[in-house]
Amino acid sequence: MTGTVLENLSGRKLAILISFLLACLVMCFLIGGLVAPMPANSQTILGTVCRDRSKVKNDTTKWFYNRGIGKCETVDLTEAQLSHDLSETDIVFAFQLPLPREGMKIDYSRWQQNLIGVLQMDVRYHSSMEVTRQSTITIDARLAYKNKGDPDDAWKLYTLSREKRHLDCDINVKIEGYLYNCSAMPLFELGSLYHDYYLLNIRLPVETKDMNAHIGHIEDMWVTAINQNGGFTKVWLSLKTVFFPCIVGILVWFWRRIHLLQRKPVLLEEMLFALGIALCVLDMPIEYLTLVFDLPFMLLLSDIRQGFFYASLFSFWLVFAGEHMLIQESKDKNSVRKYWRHLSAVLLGCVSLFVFDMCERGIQLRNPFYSIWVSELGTNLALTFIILAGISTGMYFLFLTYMVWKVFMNISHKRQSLPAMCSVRRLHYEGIVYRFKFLMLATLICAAMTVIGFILGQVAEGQWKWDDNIELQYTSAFFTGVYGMWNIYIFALLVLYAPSHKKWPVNENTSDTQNLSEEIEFNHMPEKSEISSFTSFITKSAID
Amino acid sequence: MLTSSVITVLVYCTVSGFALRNVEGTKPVLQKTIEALFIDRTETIYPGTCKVFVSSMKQAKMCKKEPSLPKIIQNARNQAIKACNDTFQFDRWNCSLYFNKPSKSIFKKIYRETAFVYALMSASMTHGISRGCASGELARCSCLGRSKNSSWETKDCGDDFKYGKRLTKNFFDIKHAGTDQIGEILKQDVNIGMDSIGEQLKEVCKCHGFSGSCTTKTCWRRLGPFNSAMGLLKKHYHHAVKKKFVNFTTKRAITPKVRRKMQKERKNLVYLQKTPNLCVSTKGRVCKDRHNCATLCCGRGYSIAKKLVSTKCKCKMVDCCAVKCDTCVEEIETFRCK
Repeated sequence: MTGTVLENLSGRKLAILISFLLACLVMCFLIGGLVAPMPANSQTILGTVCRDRSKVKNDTTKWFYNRGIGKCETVDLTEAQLSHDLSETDIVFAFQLPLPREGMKIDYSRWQQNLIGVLQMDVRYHSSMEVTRQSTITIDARLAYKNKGDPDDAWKLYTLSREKRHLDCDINVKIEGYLYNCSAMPLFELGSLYHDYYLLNIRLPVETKDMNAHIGHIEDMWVTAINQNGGFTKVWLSLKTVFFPCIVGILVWFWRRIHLLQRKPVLLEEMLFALGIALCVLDMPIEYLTLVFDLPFMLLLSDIRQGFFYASLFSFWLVFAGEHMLIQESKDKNSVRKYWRHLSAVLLGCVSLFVFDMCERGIQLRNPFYSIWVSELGTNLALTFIILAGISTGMYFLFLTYMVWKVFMNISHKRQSLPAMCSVRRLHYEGIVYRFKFLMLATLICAAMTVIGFILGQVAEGQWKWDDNIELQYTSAFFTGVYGMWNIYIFALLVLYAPSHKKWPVNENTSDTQNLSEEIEFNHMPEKSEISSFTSFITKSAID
Repeated sequence: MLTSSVITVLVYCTVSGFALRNVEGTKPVLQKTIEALFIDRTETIYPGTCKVFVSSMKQAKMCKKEPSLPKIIQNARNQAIKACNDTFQFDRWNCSLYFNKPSKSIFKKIYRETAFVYALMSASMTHGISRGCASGELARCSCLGRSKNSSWETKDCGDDFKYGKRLTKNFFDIKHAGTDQIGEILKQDVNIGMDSIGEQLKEVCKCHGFSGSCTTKTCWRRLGPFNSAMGLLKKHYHHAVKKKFVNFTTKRAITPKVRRKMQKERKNLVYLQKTPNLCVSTKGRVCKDRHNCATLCCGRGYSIAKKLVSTKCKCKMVDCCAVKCDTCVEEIETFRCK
């Protein structure tokens, strides 16, 4: 009779393995904190107000920019009075990304992965014309790109769109000339940062009477461009490059171990294998491809990969708890079908998040300026899916807690029958119970650390952010630490739950002759899994 | 006896003459720059690369390196003077260059007003430079990230305020503003001005993590409007602290004890000299309301005139960027000091 590696591993070896894995974890954390820079950078760009003298305004080959040959004619909006020669449709806000720094014309690197734009407005207060608190602004946004070596005016159209946004402004002291406090609006999301330079032209069309009529006196427009930090991407990808072969290797080893056995793999082993596959998918460093190809779907894909991983991790926990319920209803091999009710919460949550993601980031593949939150219907739809996902997550965790509690109840209940057994066997089973509990604890600690780390990051953010003295990049450390932790966790599961080569100690049969009957009972169940020798013990004691 | 006294007088004259010239010659760049910027309200273009005023060697170099800096300095100056005129319209000191008569310049000694002007100018400069960085006008703004020799893709180049502060300090040559009491006081006033811009920065955040959740959040600081910083500066003006005069002429270095005391009062504008009574100059000034007139006119009383004034009203937004209004005629009471 064989068990899992976990059951047969001596305490010393287990301790060595665990301390090795813990050291790896600490290293991941330190890499994030000391080597990696912050995960994302932002650059705030003040729009240059350009004057469009052309008659036809929908010419997409005409671009307005403020640097280089052919730069636009600027207008000062604080002094400008609209007259017959300057109409509102002549005004274009131009944003040339990225800004020059340190006297160099810098360009985006493909390591920076993605670009997110946020729009902010400076609206001046005029007592004669107050802005309604919730108004809608219509913008005509056009995005162009250029690459290194292109001439200054060689902008090529990337995408254009006419979008609506909610402008939410309020003001504390109503003094003439003061600015409203306007909330920031999401503007665009580019899943790939393939080109070197980008140019954004924003106009505020006035085609109907109501269009852009209640937005007050706009003085300035600011666009904040957020991109992933190139240095962070490098560290992140290196981590993935290290983890990926490790996980693939251990997965192959695990599967071979199982196939060496005479039986078919049991449910828990299959689930563990699936979890390993999901982690492989997550670890696969396909981001390298973005350095060569233009792959705008990377944001969506990374969401899907993460979602797939979470779904398999959550399902695994459920099955793990269920398989150790210590009640063997049938002697057949359990299948996932048995858990369909339990897993439906996971499935529902994942599907609703997937639908939401497809609605937002999926459509953004076609139109980067799209936002689901603008239309009433879209907001309701998005909220529905998010609430649905939230409810199913809540239900899942309630259910999982209930199941884990039940397992522990069963263990303490069954433990009462332990003194009736022989000493060797009792010690052995106690060991198994202890190690199962240990693993449960590990899971709990991992989950708790993730949650605590996340909350700490959110709370401490305000205090740490602008302090130059702190060298530790907390956010990066959190990301690499959590990422490393779950990798190591699954690595440990794959190692410890693989079937062991070791046989039961031989002396067991010889010394404990009085318990021979128990041994026979044990061997009567050849179709039962070795992995659940613990469960067999429970079944056995139930028979007792 | 006579000759010796003559010699004494002669020696005294030469020495004081030298000393005077010496004092004039070594007047710190900070003082020269701010005075030049505040006093000249014309659009005169001076020779040299900085154009707006007669610059020092170092400043000329900076203007040469950054060709749009003169334009930014000019805008900053205009913005500061306009804001000052608007805010002090109904105060006894109406942002004028002198007290009561042209010979009494506000820069002669360090008055409350002098301290304010230093803070105002440095605030406006910092604001202007930060904006210049954000619009891309200034090409040499640096990324003040923690790693010095890494490429920009790993650095955070977002905080233009920090750079604005640094460039302003460099331009005014704060380092060489003097170690005497005047130098220390002016430095502090300049810092108060720059910090008033810093206090107006608003933090804005955007979540962009898994499915747009807040697992990843990026925050940045957004530059506030100049006139709200102006409100803060006016508060500082009213709460300015008068310092005891420590030997003015010998330029004695500040003792550690004084320095410690100064550190405590870092949060206030400081000045040395009491402002003369400005009641003489408020004659004929327009005041806002009865309450304001009582203080502005120094109890001399005021005349009330009723005037028909045409104002803009029923304004409509024609577009994002401009207001179109009708003209309404209103009867308005105007107050004027006697």
